[in-house]
Amino acid sequence: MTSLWLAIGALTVLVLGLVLPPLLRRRAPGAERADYDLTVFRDQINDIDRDLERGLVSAEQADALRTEIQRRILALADRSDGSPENAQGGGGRVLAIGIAGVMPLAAFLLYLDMGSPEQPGAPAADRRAAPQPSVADGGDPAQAPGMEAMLDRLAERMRRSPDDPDGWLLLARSYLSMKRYADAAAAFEEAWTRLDGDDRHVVGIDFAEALVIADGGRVGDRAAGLLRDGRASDPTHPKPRFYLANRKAQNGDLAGALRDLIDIRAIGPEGAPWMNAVEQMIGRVAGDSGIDPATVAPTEDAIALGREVAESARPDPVADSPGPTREDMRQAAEMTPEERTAMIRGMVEGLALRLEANPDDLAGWRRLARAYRVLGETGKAEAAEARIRRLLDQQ
Amino acid sequence: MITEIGHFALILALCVAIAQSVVPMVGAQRGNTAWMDFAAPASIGQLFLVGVSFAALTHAYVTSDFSVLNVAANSHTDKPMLYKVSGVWGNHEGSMLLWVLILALFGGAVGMFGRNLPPGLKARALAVQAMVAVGFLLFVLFTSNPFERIPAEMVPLNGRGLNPLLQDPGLAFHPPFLYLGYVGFSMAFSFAIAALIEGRVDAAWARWVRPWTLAAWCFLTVGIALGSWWAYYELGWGGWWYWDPVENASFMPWLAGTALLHSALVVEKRDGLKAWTVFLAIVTFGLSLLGTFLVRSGVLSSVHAFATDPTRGVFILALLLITIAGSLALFAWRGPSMKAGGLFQPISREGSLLFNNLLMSVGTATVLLGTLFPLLAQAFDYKVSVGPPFFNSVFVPLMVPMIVAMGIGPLLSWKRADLMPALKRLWFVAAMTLGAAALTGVMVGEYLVMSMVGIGLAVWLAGGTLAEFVGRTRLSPKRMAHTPRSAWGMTLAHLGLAVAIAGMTGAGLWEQERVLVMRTGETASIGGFDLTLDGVDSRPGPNYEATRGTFTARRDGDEVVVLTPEKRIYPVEGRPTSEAAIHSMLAGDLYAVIGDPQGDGHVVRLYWNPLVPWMWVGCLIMVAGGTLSLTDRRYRIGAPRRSRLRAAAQPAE
Repeated sequence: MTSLWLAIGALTVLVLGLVLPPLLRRRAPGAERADYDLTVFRDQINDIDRDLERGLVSAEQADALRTEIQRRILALADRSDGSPENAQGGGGRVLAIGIAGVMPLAAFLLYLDMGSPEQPGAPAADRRAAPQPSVADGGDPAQAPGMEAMLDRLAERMRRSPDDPDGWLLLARSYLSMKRYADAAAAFEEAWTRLDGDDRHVVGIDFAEALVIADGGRVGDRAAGLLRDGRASDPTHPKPRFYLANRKAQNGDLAGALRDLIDIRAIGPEGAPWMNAVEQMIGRVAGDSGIDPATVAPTEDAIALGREVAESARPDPVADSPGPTREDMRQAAEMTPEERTAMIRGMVEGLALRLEANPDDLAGWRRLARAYRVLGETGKAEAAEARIRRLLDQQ
Repeated sequence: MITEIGHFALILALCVAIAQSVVPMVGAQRGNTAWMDFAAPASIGQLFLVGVSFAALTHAYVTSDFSVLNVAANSHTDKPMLYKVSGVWGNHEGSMLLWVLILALFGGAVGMFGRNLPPGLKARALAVQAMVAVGFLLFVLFTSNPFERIPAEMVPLNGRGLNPLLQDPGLAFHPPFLYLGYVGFSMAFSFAIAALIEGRVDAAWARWVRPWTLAAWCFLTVGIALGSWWAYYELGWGGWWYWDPVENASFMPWLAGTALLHSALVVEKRDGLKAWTVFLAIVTFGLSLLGTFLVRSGVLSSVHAFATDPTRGVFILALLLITIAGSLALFAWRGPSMKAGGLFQPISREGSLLFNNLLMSVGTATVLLGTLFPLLAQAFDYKVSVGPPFFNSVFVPLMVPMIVAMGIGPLLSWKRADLMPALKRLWFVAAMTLGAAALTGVMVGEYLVMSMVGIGLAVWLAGGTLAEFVGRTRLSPKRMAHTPRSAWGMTLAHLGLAVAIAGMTGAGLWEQERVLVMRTGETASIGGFDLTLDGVDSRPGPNYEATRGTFTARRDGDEVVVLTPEKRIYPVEGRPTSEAAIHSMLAGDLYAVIGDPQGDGHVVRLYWNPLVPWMWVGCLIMVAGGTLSLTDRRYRIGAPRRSRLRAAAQPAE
């Protein structure tokens, strides 16, 4: 830090040393403006002589051109009286002192406000010194069954001390990633029964999704109940609405399903990555029912929610965003350290959730593994790394 | 630490720029030489500081310091070094820093090399340049600060990459050149404003301004050509000009700047068109600013508009309005006081330059209208799209008489000329033109009239330019050696345009395209070549995975070239790009693109693009002409000594 201030000081002195001397110097009166003009005009007359020599202009034309330039030189003489360049400098010293005082101060204060002088740089080369398991070399093939074994150990541990909803969630997501959907649903249920409030409803949505997938896509009564709770707790979440619309379609209420799908689209946000799935579903339902989706208007509620979603700019619960956005950073900068850690955990959780929906996302798993390393959660990091090795093996 | 030094340097540069915009201006007004002399070192100091700041940001990119938000958002450790460096300006914040650097570069160059400029003019011009710099430094520091940091515990382990479309050598150097051109016109603008404040524009002024305008023009030409070339080979559609608003944004200053170069010639030689030239200087830089506004505000949605932030847009719009409205008000106030200089007849060198200016200005206005009209209509909830058909049917016909006049203009003498002798010297050229047009008509099936006009114009312009050159030098080596470099420059630049016109005609009208599904071993023909797909394989790149097709092109059974187009997927960004394989020949480009698999084959697009290389070669020749003209000895007149006569007349001190 001291060296930063020294560098900043040296830079300032250097620049002042560069710009101030002319103000302190007493200069002999230099050439006048007219002299500068004359130099150019003389050169132009020489040009005409050269052109004449080479026969590019006739003698007559050359004379006319010369007269013209001479006229300009005469006009110059009329104007040059009291030309500013005649005048002398004054007040230079006062100005120099003023600049030397005000400029560094202004720059320094502005920098204190805008800069981060206490923060060191973090070039990637320095940070790589921290040990990181290599995932690029593909890993040991024996590690893949290791994942299964580890999962079993985790399941065993959870059965022995079941009062840890986070542990159940981890287990559930691990099962999901291994496409063991029934096991995942069971683990989600364990977590779900041990949570309350909004957390319970959010996990309930995932629980329901696992049930639906385990059931080959059929949205049963159990799942529907969970999804309705989820929708009530977060009316803008697309997942419960989407599966409930599916349920309606499965039960033959195509018009109702189409209405609900149109509502999801109205709630938005526009351009969300999952919107494609919604559009496809709309197309399918419209085709089956023969209803033109253009004739179905979204409900008032959906429009109101859509406005809310558009205005709140809340992160899409399903979307994949590869890293923190500028806005996240700005918010993070204004938080206490505890809040910041909480926010990071939130983002990591979000990533984990997204990966469970999209378990083949290798880059995502790498990010998750790194994030857990940074947070010091070795166990979770190792799980993610095992996952990466598995994906690499599959390829 | 280096990042923070860069941040401080940028803030200090703002302070220096504020002083530089005030002190020399006041000094020039009061006739205080010491205050005026502050301008040159201040401009050099500003260049130094912005340079330090730019170097610091580059350092952060090269070392992948993700504690800098801008680096984390736009770079990645896996990126090749070239694109780490070009990533500095491949994003909004960094590109605005580059903009400010170039602004300082031109100011600093005038400060360093402008010893032959009268101190008053130099002080005022540098003060105006500093005012523009203040505006942009405020913009960078307060709305687009590239030195914003990420709190230490949130520093990501890797960055978010860079738009893969932008990971390309052509694009790595496109923005710097474009900015050197855009921003270079700021110098002409500053000189124009200084001249308006001084109330004098004369032959000497035109000579002092010319080299800076010429340099900016050369850079802008390179920048536009690079951008067009990049679009041609990277976007994978074989197109090179789309009349896209962003392209127009760079084309408008080029048109106005070209007009400015020519009208400044009349000021220099004949003391005429003074107010018009000053006006053009203002308009040219105004259009550069407008281009920045259009690209940077996110008003336009296109690849280029990576900044979509309304506060930035409003800031640049305010800057634009203040600059343009202020300078035009100054022009309205001081402009009429400029006395018109030498008179001339309509048929004369001046007359032809004025005609060229007129058409160039109307052309610029057309492009401006076509670019802004959809935006204005959108503001009133009308959806209008103005596309290539508009520009092709309005802009292109405007250029036809201009090119015709370009063939004759250089043969006319200053002040008054006779058309007949000039035309007599061109009868052979006219015959060649008609012959070439007729030959084109016989050889080409489609777009008959346009093809004939295009090739005819190219031959006419090249012939006229060569006729003028031969007439002047009579091909004697001695005369050629004595020909001023600016005259050589004119000849080359006009020839370059002729070559480029031929290229545009071929590329625009005679393109052949085939889209088909090809299986390994199949052969398709295009443009007289037979292309066999030898195979498709995948190969990993440094930060992408590529699907590569291998084609062997044969002509009459003889192998010509092996083409290997690729389709790349960048996993970090999750976006594909297509790398076309292009084989350039004098007659045209063979161009192949590999697409997605379909069935047991791949979708393949093949093009035969005749005369495309001529466009790039033509642009290069134009730039060579501009550069040669820049080295003309008349821009190297030294600073005058103090005139003895006047010195003697002054009272002893």
